[in-house]
Amino acid sequence: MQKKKEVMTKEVKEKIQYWKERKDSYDVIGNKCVRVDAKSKATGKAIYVEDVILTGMLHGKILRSPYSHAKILNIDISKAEALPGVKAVLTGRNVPHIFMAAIDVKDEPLLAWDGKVRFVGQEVAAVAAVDKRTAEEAIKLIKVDYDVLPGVHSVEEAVRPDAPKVHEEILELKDDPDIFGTMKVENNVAFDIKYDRGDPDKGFAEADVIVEDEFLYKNVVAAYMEPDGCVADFDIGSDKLTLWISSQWPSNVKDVVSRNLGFTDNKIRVIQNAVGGAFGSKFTANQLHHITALLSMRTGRPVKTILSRTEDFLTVRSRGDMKIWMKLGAKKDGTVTAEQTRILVDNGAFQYINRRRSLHQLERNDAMYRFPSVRHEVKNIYTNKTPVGTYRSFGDAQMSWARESLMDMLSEKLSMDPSDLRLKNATQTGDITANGWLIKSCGLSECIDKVRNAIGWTEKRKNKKALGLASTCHETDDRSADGFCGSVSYVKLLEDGSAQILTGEAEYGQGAHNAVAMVVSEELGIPLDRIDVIPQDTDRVPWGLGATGSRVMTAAVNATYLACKDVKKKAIAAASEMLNVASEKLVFDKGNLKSSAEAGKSLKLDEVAKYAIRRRGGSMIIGTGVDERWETEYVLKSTHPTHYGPGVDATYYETTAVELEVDEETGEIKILNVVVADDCGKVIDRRQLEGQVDGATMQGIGAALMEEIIVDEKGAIANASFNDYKVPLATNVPPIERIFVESIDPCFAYGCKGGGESPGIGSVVPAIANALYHSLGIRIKSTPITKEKILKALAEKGGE
Amino acid sequence: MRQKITLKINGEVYEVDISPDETLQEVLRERLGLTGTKHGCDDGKCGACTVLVDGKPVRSCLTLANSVKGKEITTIEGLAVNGELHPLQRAFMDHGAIQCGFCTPGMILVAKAFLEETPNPTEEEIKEAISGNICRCTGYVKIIDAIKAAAKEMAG
Repeated sequence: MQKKKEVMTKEVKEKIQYWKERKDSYDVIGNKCVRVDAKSKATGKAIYVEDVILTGMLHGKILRSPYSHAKILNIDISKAEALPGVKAVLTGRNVPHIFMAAIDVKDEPLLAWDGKVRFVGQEVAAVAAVDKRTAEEAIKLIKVDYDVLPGVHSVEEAVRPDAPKVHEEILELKDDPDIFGTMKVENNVAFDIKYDRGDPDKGFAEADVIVEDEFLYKNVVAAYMEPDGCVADFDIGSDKLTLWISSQWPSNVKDVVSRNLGFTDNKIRVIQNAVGGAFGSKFTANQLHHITALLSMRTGRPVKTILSRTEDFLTVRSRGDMKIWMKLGAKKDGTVTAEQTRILVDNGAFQYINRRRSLHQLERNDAMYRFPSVRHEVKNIYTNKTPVGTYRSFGDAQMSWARESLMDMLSEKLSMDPSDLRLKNATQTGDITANGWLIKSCGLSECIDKVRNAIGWTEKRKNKKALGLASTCHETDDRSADGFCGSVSYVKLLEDGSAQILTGEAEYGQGAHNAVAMVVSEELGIPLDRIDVIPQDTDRVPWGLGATGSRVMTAAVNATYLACKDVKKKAIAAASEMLNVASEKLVFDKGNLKSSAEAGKSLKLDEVAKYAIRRRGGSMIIGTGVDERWETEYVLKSTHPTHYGPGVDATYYETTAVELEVDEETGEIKILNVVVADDCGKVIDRRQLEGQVDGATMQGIGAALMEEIIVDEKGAIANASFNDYKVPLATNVPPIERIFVESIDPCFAYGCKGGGESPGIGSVVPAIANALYHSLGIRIKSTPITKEKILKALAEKGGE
Repeated sequence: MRQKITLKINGEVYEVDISPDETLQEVLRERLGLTGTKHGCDDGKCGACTVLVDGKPVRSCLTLANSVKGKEITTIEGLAVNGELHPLQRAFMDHGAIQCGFCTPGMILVAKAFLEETPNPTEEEIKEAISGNICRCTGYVKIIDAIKAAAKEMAG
């Protein structure tokens, strides 16, 4: 499995060395700064989608199914249409028969045009009216006759032979390009992915010790602060549709909506200003975008549709319930010989991007430790519930829950310290993982070591303190969505030497735009307050692959770095004319262009910028940066025959240790201390990364202790509000220590990788369970880890 | 029955034509274009809609516009004076307490009211004071740091 020579080629090593030498030499990169968008947010001036106000704007409202499974027999919209102030009513009967964006399937019809509803909250009709109150009244006047069908609300119910079918048949991608064929759905299995690597049977046969168990992860949601929304303005003067959205992938919204609704690229524009959080759950073009667009097209007026918080809870693509059975085999010395999993994913009503998601959770798992042989089987099961998707992980929150709990169980059987077991098997730089990922940088061992030192692991564990740890890894960019992997940035040098950056990547709070501004500041010597990042606007900025999978810090930073290189080249060419010095004899040095041959001959960047515009026929210096990396041609689509290959460019690792105490009377957990070590590559925006680690840690604490989507017997989400779905508050914050392990990756400028997500994705939850086991001897195998479960486990243990 | 009412917001007087069931949040955002006050939930739980009425934090989504006639209302737009940012705004910016920014206006206003009452707070008191404002991005750590720093500056 380890083929060091192939991964760590001469080129890879040279790149790493290049960035290593410069690691501590930067003026801006790696330091703390004030975010470029901080003032607009601190003054309340930042424009989120609900803040967009246009003349003549109508308000949109969606009617949703109260049933988890039903046929739509009839929809009577006559009373709604007749209500004064109502300008348009949409149902599945008067909209195009189009499908929502998904990976390799078409199974989600717009406004249930196929005549069936499949989850409580599904979109059935929509109105546009002169104000919100009228729109709400109109919705109540729409009469839908349903033939209610029995629904399946859990994986167990769905796989029974006599279970009602969520889908009879769906359209599935057969061949490129875009050829779909009908697929009959059997036993509500949306799809399954199976693969073996190495020889797992042999691996288990060779093992001295085997552990296996089943783990349950309960659904949680992103609960970002800004509910989803859309403003659409179809201008009948130009036949152009403009959308304002709150999304991670404006380019996708443009692509899908234009294709679905018949707009050419020049007649659709998608704009995005500030976004109030996303965490993976505001990803692709959805029902809301299409509905709002159609309402505007029907009325010829702008329409704003903002989801209520309840609606957002009902429809957000969530992390999802998952049942994971996992088995690990190891030698006496702790070397893992084989891993096996059988996973049942509660997919919800539509597949969305879940083929990619389910594949990813396996691949990331395989990248965690040196598993020589693995056998995986994951089945996504259709249920009559809200479709699941991505919330700060691609199924690997659940995978980490199982794996990191089981690693501790394995360490106990081996009489080994759990951190030593992880160190024994940790992936290393130069490895090729079980599923073919090329690991060109890995700081996992250092993360484990630093975390246990920082928290006082050995001493405290000896004294039976409740201390546990866990590790997770995350990808940095992958190419399984579209086969394309990269990013584009343009850097414009304005006349006075200020800069504008046009990046294809979205800012939704994660600091993407600040990162690219820092790059320009570093490379061109321009202060941050003289750099503007143009808000996402598909008429102005390049196409982008979406802010997902921690890819923006790397891909956008890379593209912007390259754009700056281009700016420097062009600036040198201009300066060469100005100074009458050959280009080869000019160097760019912190915003100055200096002659290396003649002392005293130098220019400032703003002088060159002005010259370029005023004296060179208006030829403003614009740098183009196209991010190109290794194996950009490799496509690992979910329909790939073997799923094997380098699906991502870089992987970042992380370890979290948690110290807690438990009140054995009440079962209440108090988190005393959290230490996170993040293998983030070269830190770019230090302050932002610290904040991300804090936020992710608190999300992890939420998922571990208090968050859970509860579905009632009718398939409806019973706790669709902040009153009933508890998220961590300021009073829940423990001391958090953050350690950054800067293993330099060759793929991206400065040697950066993604960072900051993993405690929230995978580590905090199992670390807490591991801490509990160590001090109390109780192993909780389902989330959330509630007081009730702890008391029950203590009672059962007491009875033994 | 629509009626004309007068509201005093950020030191300015506004005359608005409202229906009695309109909330302060709706009037601020939709009638007056003061969109700094955010809309994050349906039941007064998230705190994003927080404004100050006579210096005290209220959920504008649960407050009828009619009920605050004649009172001094402060929104995030009213914090900076003659372009000079409030110490809390500067502290939030300087300490990385802002990521997506959606909770920020409500959080800053709650902190302002709190620090004016409790100029020398402990960390626990700060956490308690902002425990009615949800933030999903920052994990609250840098928000607490920012409030501590602003407290020092405001106390002189």
